[in-house]
Amino acid sequence: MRSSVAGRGGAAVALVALAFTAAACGRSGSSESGSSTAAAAASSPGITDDEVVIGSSQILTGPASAYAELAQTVDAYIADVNARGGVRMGDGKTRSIRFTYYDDAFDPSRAVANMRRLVQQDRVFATFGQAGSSSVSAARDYLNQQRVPQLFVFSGDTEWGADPRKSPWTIGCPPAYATEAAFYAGELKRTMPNAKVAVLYENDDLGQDVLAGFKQAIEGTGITVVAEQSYAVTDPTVDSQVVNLAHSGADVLLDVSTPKFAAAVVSKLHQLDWRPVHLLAAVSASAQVLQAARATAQDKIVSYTYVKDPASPAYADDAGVKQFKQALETYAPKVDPDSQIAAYAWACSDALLRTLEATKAPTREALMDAARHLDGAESPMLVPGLTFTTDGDADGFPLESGQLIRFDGTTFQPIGEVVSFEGRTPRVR
Amino acid sequence: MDRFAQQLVDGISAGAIYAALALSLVLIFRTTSLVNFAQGELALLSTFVAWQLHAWGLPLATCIAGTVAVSFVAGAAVERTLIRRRERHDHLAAVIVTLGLYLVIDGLVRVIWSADVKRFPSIFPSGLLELGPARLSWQSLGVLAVLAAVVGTLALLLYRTRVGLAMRAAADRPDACALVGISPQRMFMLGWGLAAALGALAGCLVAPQLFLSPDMMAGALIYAFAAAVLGGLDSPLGAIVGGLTIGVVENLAGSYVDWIGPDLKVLVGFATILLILLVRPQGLFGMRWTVRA
Amino acid sequence: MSRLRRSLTARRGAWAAAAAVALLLPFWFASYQVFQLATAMAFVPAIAGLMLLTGVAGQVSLGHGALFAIGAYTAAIIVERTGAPFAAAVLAAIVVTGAVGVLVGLPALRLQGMQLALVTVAFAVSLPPVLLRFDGLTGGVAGISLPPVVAPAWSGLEGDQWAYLCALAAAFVSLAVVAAVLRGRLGLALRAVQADELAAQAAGIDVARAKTLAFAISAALAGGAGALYVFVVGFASPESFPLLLGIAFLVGMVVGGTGSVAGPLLGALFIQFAPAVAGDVRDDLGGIVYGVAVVLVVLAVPGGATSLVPLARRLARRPAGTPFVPHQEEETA
Repeated sequence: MRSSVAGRGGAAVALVALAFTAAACGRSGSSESGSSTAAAAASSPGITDDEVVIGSSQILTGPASAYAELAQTVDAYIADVNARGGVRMGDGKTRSIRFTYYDDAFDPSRAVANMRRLVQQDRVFATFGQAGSSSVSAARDYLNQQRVPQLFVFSGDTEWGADPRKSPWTIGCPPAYATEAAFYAGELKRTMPNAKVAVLYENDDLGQDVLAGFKQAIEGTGITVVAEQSYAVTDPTVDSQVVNLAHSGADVLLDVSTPKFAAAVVSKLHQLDWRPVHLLAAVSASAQVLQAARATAQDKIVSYTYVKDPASPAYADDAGVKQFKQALETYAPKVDPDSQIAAYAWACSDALLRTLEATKAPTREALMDAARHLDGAESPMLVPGLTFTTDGDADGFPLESGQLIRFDGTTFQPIGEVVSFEGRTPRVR
Repeated sequence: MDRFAQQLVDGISAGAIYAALALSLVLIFRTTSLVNFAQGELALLSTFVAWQLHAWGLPLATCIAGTVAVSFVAGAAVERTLIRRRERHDHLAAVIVTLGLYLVIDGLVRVIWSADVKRFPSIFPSGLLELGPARLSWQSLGVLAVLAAVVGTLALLLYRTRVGLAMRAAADRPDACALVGISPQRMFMLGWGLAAALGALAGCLVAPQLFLSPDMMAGALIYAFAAAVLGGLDSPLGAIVGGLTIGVVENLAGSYVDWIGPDLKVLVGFATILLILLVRPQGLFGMRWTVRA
Repeated sequence: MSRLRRSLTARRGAWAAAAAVALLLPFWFASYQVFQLATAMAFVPAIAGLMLLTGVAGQVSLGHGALFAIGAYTAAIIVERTGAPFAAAVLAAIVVTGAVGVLVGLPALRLQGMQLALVTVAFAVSLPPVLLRFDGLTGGVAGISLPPVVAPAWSGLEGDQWAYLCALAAAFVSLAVVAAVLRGRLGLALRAVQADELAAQAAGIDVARAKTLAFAISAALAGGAGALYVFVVGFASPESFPLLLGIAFLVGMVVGGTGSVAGPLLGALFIQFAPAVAGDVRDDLGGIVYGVAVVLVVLAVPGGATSLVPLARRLARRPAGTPFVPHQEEETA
């Protein structure tokens, strides 16, 4: 009896082992790892005279599958670039871009495995546009150790730009969450210098960074935080938190919530008939979300953006937005052309393209050097006046400016001029 | 407007959501002694179907009624095809099938309808009811009213009709049932069908409040488990009382107990499940825990 | 007699061949594949523990992802704070998680299978907010990053190869532990409890003790697995351990099968590689493959993958011309 258990196991193990042996033999051709030896050569892996290979680990399935649009948009962007002949890089050669990405389902260990696969099997030149702060954190050590660029990660965690010497191969794209907080604090200083602020925040790096950045930005002013309530993404509702905040006597609500919760907050505010100035995190500043919640101009919803809102009629004839929509229609018809995430992804893809254009030699070092010295690089999807600017170890944040916006019931309208915190992103970690 | 009163009312309104889900859990547990981990996702799928029909231009009431009917058939079909063969001899396998269903539906919904937040219109008027120092939306009140009506109907069905008698008998003594000419299998299918129909109704009723997205039900399910356990897993009335209690306690604990706070509210659900199962496994209204290996 | 001896020899040979191949794998595969295999090996003890508790004792746990997380955090905190060697951290993780297992297991002895499922699912959902609350210890949302694995100089191995071999050794130790438990008095008691709790009690088995012990051993294995995971991956954050992880362990246990100690091995490989393979076929399929696989296995191959081996063996042995009669496997005892 007992030997039968072991026997069955032994046979099964042997079968698996056989299968793996076969697989291993089949794969042995592609199994050498070349990154370390190639560093000494003239050009890095993943780049030839006519092609450059870019990889990414993306969230396509699982609890954060809303980010699947990000990967599809980047894919469309690169197809569009290639259709127009490719990218003319700083060494004078024009190359087409190959973009390879794998799903990590928001699981950090899968993100690490994906990055290793990209570096070793696909031999990418650089990685780009990874989403999910945990996943970026998890892959960061490996990529820095291997000296593979982790370019323009799609996360506003302040960690990515605060100290470029700590992880020189990692750089973010969107303005840091702490910078976002500084935009809102600046707007309050201008319009409500004695504001009493209630804060609702998602209990993750987004919420915690905005809260910390906001508190730092209002130090020494008449603005005070009178109440703060957190929620977890797994909470079914945030009604209770909003009620507690409504009773704090605040006249401003700083609402750092993701779209589903943002919609619920707006409708709860209606129900309570509480009408504070509603500072809403950029991640939820989408007309589609707010219309779902029946928001109007009376809700005094203020947010900020760094891209042109593709849904806004103001940009209907804008050349950049037109090209964006046309490329999506051609190469990624499943992506909603009015999607905010797609617009962000497109702008960050421009950052990649500008960096490649400024890369003076076909090496990862040269690529990273270009990313660290962007000087007013432009994107037709960025709000007019915004550019990507970095400055070596002194400034690791490509975007530190934004346009405050308010919701008028159908779309977002700009408030005043572009606000710049160039070189002044608050350090909250 | 008074904070405590509003927390109380909001607790009831959240509790109505948990109660609705708990009620369908109870229907399945009563008939098949199974906890259906896919209950929330099945309700979610039904809600998305109703939303889609409405988006295609059908009137809302028709969409909901149609979806409820389709869900009844689908629920019975799930029992017949996926659960039955496993359920009789092997509870573990049946539970794992419900977990598999949970994963499949979650993935499917994301593929078909994307993760975008969708507005689901309410069949109730949009106004508010002033309850002294607090406000309750007609939407929440409507959910409560429908729940009360459903529980009443269920009680009539279970305790005043032959079918109800047969369902209860099939749950208690399936083998003896077969001897007196009641097909326990048919009763199990009926239980699953009713649970799916109820889940569809619950989903369509609470979606205007929670906003329709693939994770609409995931967060509520844990509280629904707590509600069902508190009420006694086999008592429909218990599910309602349990849901409302959990909703209120969770809100008050999150608001007034400092060391819990809003971030550890979910511990209320965990503590309730653990304590009730240890101290009084039959819950507040349950008859007893049916032991089936 | 001679046939029995022959088959015993064959079994030992199969295990030896398997061990040899497993030891040689890291020298065939690219280092990212070795890393994936190492992660899979880290899942093995957790699934083995679940096999003991759920597969044999019939107690459904959806909380093994959370126990895994406790083990991972224990090891990560110890290594980060004290610089202790990882082996010590793994042992500490086993002890801590085993203790948690007893704490959860004490109430569990009063619970039926379905009730335990409810308690453990709530436990799994409640853990991440607690990890965030005690951010001074756990690193909060940022989690804990550990430096990459470096193989000792005498071995001449790369970090990934070393990590894999360590995880492989630990995985086999955990399987040996589970096999020993199953062969011993506790295994007998657990199977009796699973078959008929009342009868087991009547036969003089201390049901409560058996269940608690099973839970503690199972939890300790999950904790050790978590420590291995953090050793291999070098990172732990609240988002690393969602409820889905506990469900994935259960999926792995079912797909691998509970009839043999090779089940957890197959199950771990399945949960590690199936989503990626499915995702390679079509981007958005990665999320569905677990669900489809588990439903199909339960309906079509109730014994899991390992149950196919004796089936295949019988098919192969059957003399030509005789009809194949599937019969109930002999080793259910």
